[in-house]
Amino acid sequence: MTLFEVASMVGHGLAAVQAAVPDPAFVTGEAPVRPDQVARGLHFLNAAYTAVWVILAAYLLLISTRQRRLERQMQRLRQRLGLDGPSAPDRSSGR
Amino acid sequence: MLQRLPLALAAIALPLALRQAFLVAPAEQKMGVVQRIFYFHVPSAMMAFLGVGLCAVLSALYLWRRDRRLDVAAEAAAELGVLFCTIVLITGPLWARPVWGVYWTGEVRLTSTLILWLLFVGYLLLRGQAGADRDATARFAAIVAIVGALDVPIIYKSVEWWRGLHPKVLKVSGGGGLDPAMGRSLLVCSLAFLLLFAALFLERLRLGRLALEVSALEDRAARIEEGGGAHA
Repeated sequence: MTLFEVASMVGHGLAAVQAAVPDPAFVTGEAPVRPDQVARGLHFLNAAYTAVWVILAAYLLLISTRQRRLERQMQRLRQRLGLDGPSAPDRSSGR
Repeated sequence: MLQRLPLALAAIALPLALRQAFLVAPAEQKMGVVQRIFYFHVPSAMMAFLGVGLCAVLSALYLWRRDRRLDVAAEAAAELGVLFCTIVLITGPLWARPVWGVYWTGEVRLTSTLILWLLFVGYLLLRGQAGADRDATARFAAIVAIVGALDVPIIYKSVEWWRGLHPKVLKVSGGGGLDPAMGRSLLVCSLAFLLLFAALFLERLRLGRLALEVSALEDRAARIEEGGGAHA
């Protein structure tokens, strides 16, 4: 076997690999599945989407709680420092 | 009112994304209905990468400029990165169980995503443990964020570099790709998640700035009290 033949075989092999149409990630179309499989799929789908909403709602709640706490803390500090006008307590009296 | 506009837009976009995922996107033949988890799972992963990437960029800028506002923004981005990564790590196993037969495997993409989550949870815990030297903590956290973000390209490229169970959603040299209708649905869901990310980031940024103001006032109060104590 000549060097040219070997190179040609390698070239053909590489071309065949490149030309192979790879599988797509997903195949569209209605699946011929059993009702129990559909119910099982719905169960996991439901759990996943519920988890998304619960996590997002919990995070929003966490943010709003932290915001309220910081606002209260800020108000107290401003009063302590006499930055909130006439209602501010006398600083010399301590905390 | 204008401050809450991004959140309101996200609240409109998310039901549209749900409609796209459940009513518009075509059914998948092999996996059936459970494949629809994909429309929230993948955008969540994108937003997790965005959060982590943004955190790394802001951290690098903080190390350069030493502006505390950049540090606050980096922390906000990291928190959102963790939030969306948590969604990925919960929806992923719920999709995997009926399709792969297991909730979790030692696949590279799963493991590297878990590592990313652990790294950034660690980052947030580190921020929460900030002692007296806030600048030193911020500098250390910035380095952790930059190093942690290096995991993102590993997660992204893992399906190409190592053969795994994850489908190749984006067209890569080894195959993959999406049906155009599925691609459109994914795009709509990704845009909705981007809006949500922007809205949450602005809210979290506002919270961070408020914390910065409180911290400045606390310092001022402490200085005044120290001065008062010295006089007494």
